[in-house]
Amino acid sequence: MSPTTAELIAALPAIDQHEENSIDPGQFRSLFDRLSRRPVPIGSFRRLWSIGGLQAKVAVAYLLYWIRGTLQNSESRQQALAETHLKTAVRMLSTMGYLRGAAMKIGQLMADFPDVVPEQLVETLSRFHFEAPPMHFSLLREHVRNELGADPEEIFASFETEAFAAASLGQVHRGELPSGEKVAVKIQYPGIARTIRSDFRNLYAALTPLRISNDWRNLTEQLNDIRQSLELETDYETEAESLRIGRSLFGEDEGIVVPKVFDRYSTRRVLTMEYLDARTTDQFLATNPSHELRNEFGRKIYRSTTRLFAKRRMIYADPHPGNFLHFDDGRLGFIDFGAIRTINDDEWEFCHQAVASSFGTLEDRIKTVQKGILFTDEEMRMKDEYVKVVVEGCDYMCRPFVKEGPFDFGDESYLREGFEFLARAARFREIRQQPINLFLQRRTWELHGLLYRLGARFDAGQISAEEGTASEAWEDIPAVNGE
Amino acid sequence: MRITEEAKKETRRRILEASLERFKSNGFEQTTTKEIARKASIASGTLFNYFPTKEAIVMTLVAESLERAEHDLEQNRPSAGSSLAEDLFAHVAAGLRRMKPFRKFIHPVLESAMSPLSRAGSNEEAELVRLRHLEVVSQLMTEKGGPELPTTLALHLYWTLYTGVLAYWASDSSPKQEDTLSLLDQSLRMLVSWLETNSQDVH
Repeated sequence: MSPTTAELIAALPAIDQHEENSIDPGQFRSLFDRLSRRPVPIGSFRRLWSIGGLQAKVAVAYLLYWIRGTLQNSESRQQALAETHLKTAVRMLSTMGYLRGAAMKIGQLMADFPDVVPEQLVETLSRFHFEAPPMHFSLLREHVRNELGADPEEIFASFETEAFAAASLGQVHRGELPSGEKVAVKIQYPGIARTIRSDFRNLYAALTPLRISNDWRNLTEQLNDIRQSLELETDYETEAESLRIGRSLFGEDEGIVVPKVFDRYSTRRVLTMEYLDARTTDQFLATNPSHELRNEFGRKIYRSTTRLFAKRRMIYADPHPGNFLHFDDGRLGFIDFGAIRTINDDEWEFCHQAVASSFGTLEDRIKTVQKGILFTDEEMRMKDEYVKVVVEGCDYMCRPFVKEGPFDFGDESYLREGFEFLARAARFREIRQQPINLFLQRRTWELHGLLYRLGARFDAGQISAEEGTASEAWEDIPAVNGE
Repeated sequence: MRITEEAKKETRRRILEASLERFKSNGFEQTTTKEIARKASIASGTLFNYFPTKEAIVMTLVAESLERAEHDLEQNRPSAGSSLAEDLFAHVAAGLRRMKPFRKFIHPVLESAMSPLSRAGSNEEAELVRLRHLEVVSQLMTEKGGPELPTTLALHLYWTLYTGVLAYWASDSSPKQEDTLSLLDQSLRMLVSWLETNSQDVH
């Protein structure tokens, strides 16, 4: 019988003494529920993703183990230098207000483990939302005036001065257009996108001297990829384009609604969309919905993200519960297209191979893993055990659509198995991978987490086949923006 | 006598309008008092009866805008439950809106008349602007912070932040000066949090 995550963590050397780092399998459901049921906290903007904190903790424990191994034969001077650079980077993080949540976490880690590794930062940065200070209406009014040319009260027939939701680096207000359409106006905190760009340059500069492993180049590629995606996330014009593409992919009869964008009222910093008057996932679950209804919403959520991927090469990297709305008539609202990562030709080919091999032989799967983690043949032979674990992980991720018939996403043991896999994989202290894997993993984890909360059970393989991702019918889809 | 007063007022207005037009098209440094006089259709010497320097002209433009901004704010007060940081923000933002036409040439005035480094009383108009502005600030602090008047220290700190934001705004190259909004917001948050944590010293 394989050990539990809790047992693996407990076996780690010099683990944090203060934090609760054990995951009691008996309390798994309540822990998971607590993590994912955080309301959208408009006041404090502490918007955390559903399972990332736990995941990061597991990853960190193992990455620490990894770095100790890397440094154990190096001179103490080199170790000291590495620690100094890391501390500088972490101090820098703490001055970046929008990183507050993550910085606090990292700060705590630094206090406990003086040798936090940059790989851990990559892991953390790929899995949290940036926060911005809340804007009072007087600031918002000036900002909207600069962006749209007049005060919100002049532009909109009505405009609520209090935000009703948090957004990536901003907030969302309800309003009504002069034409009578109800809208959600997403407004980004002024200047924050440019601040992030310059902060990332500085952070990168602080981390650069830390070329402590042979995997540095791959690590920086991953870091760059995350940075680029975050920059896209702060550009509402790009998000508006993604929304338009998303909207064009779903027919009215399919019951999946992507809000319309109102260009005249939108800029890079202000995004005005159709307001969808529907329940959030939490509100929906509070109504004690039937199994059939949960399954139906699960199917739609799965279909919507799969279609973006299959038809337009878009990874919907943030499928957290707040981004899906539930209408009383059964329709699904599919909102917030900020965290979209598009796939280039090489990556698309890789995805194709990965999906095809998930239905193929063990040898096929090993080949895919080899490509996915960028090992040479020589290295592969040396890292045989690790490759086996990654293949197991891929099998785990693909299981919902490879398995014939309905898959029960509400099965707690499936999620627990995922954490255990993460823990096992991290023990090998390997960090190389295709940057796109970060986004695919984030999407898969968040999506599975959401479907777990819904307790949804449906035939994911059938949906994947219908959408063209899980069969030989893999389509040669041109990339978005003609890539 | 009455006609003379009106004519004076009219001339003064013409000088201010001509200056604004010249500053906008030529920049502050390049514009001469001679050009302003010509544009305002007055003799060069006459201009000095009204304004001793170019800086004094800009200072007057600033003072008039801030006066108008106060009226604007009367119409657009933050809601009843607003925070002190928001009230102060609205006060400053209303001024920035009105001063926008001469943002590019406000620097010399900031340096010579409004900066905490300029000698007190060196410019009467600037001193009046400062006192009037701080009176409103003091009133807002009293309303939100309690019955007692804020200390001189608190007002000095505010003025230093305010003129710092103005200086930043004057040369802000970010799109639509969005960085100024964020600097102002965060400066005022910082000030208010200082006021709150030091309320015993302040009052």
